[in-house]
Amino acid sequence: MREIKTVDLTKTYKVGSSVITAVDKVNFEVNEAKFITIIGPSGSGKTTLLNLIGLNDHPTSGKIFIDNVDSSLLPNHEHRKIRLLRMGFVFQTFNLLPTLNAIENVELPMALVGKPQKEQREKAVRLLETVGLEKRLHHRPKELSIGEMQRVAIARALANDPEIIIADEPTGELDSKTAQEIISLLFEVNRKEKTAVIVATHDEKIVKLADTIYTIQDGKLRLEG
Amino acid sequence: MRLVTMCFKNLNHRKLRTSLCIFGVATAICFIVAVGATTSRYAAIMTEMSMLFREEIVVVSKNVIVIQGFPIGGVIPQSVVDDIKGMNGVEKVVPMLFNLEFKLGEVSNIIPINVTIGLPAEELPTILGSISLRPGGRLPSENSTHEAIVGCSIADQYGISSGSNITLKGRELTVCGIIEGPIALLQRSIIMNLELAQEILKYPMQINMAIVKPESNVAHEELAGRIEQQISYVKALTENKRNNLTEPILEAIENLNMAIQGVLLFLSIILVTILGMINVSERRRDFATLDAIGAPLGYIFRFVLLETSLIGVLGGAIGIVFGSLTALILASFYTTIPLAQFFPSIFDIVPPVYMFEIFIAAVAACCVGGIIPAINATRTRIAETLRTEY
Repeated sequence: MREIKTVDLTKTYKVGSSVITAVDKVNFEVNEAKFITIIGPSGSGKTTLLNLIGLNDHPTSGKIFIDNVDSSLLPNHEHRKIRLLRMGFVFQTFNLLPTLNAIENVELPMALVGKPQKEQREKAVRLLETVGLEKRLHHRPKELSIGEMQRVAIARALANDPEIIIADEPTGELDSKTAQEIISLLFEVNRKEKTAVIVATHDEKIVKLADTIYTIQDGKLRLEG
Repeated sequence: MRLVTMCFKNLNHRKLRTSLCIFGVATAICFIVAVGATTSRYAAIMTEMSMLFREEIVVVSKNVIVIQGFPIGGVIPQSVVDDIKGMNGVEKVVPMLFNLEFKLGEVSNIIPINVTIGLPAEELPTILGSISLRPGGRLPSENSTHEAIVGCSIADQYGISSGSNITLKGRELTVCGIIEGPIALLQRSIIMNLELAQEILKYPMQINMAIVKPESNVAHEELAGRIEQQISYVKALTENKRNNLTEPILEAIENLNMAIQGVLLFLSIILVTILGMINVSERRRDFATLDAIGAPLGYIFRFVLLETSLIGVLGGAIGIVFGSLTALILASFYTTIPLAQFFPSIFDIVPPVYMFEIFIAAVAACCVGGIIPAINATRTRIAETLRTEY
């Protein structure tokens, strides 16, 4: 994926008789393996924007272009394919499948692509070693600390060598030491793997590392630097 | 990682709920197999009975209940044989005494389904053509007053062999042969000369059925009509009439089976659907995650369907095993034949094809039960479900 671009991207929700604009005419562009942060208070529209960029939700109006192709013209299964092959997701609450152990959680995206089992296993082990979980391969999420769970989530996000990682408050649930480790890990991924990383966060430490910083307030996105 | 592994892990994660559901499905399948196999067995026995007296007319007392030509009670004088013999178009008439309520004297637990048959010894091969005897055995000799042949099921149950002595109503008999063959009725029969049977059963000069062999150019229905016309106290049953008497019973058994199967499978579908819906609503976040990381809708659909199908596989297999055992226990209970004697013939009582059909039905029912939960799982909205910030 060389480029994601949004044009006047808008998302509104109807709550009773009132309409809430979560994302308001956002114009945003990623075309390099940059580390981008989007900061804003709770309810400012960060998650909604990431969901739209990640093709997890449909905009009310406006366009999302992926490599200059209007995503609204693509069928849903193409959206899934893009999410599977070209994007990796890291969520605030990790969203690991509770019945699978660390390796199996990381193998999952590769299994969805249909990679051979042996290849899945080798790569899952390698990725978990990269995130420092070589001793936790067969532990299920409930047997891991929250920091370890987030590492597994990052390893899972990297499973299909995505071009972009979208992380929604990845340190939101973590203590400061663990948060620091996760930030370093994401930064390392960005630098070593040449993977673009978009992070929605409140965390000042992440903001300091970012190549590009956006702020979002009442759904309006502004480039800060 | 394979989808089936994930499904097993998910089912294992909810052990109690899954076990209860499997237990429910297994119970339904157990009941279907037990009732189905038992009723089918009796239907099969009735069908087997139609293999006897082919192309012949069975004459019995007029007001007697008849199952496939065999009367339950009712006697007619033996002289009726001569009356019928005198009619035009009759090639041969064989008198028979058929008794369902006879007890082997020494073996007190024999129940009515054991059958005593008396007929002229020389007619045995022609009337009961499919009889074969175990090696070393022979048919009772003509006018023998102490010989009988015994069905293999009775022989195995009581350890009787050719040359053994048995006592019937105080009368000692020598077993001269053991009947083998597929017909269940004959497997439970004690067959002897007519006069001997009349003496033991205390029916002197009486019979309860006469087998009439028409000449080749005679219409059976017409001859049967003439017999009934000339001898007012009998009814003459051609092969068609006998089949017509049995068919409604067989049909009723089949319909009852179908109804039981239908109701129980429907209940299984509902049970599995409820379980599936609970599982899906509890794991909405998991499905949203799968969706978010790009799992195709078909994958999520298959995921849920495979889970419910696995319940069908496990419930079906367990149900078939216990259903087969129950069928054996029922067969043993209703016949007083020891359970162990049924084990070698388990696949006769519950045929493998029937097991396979029920297994497929169980899996299919559980698969159908998974459709609504699976559709529900695919309709999970990622953004709404995974939203952690409002």
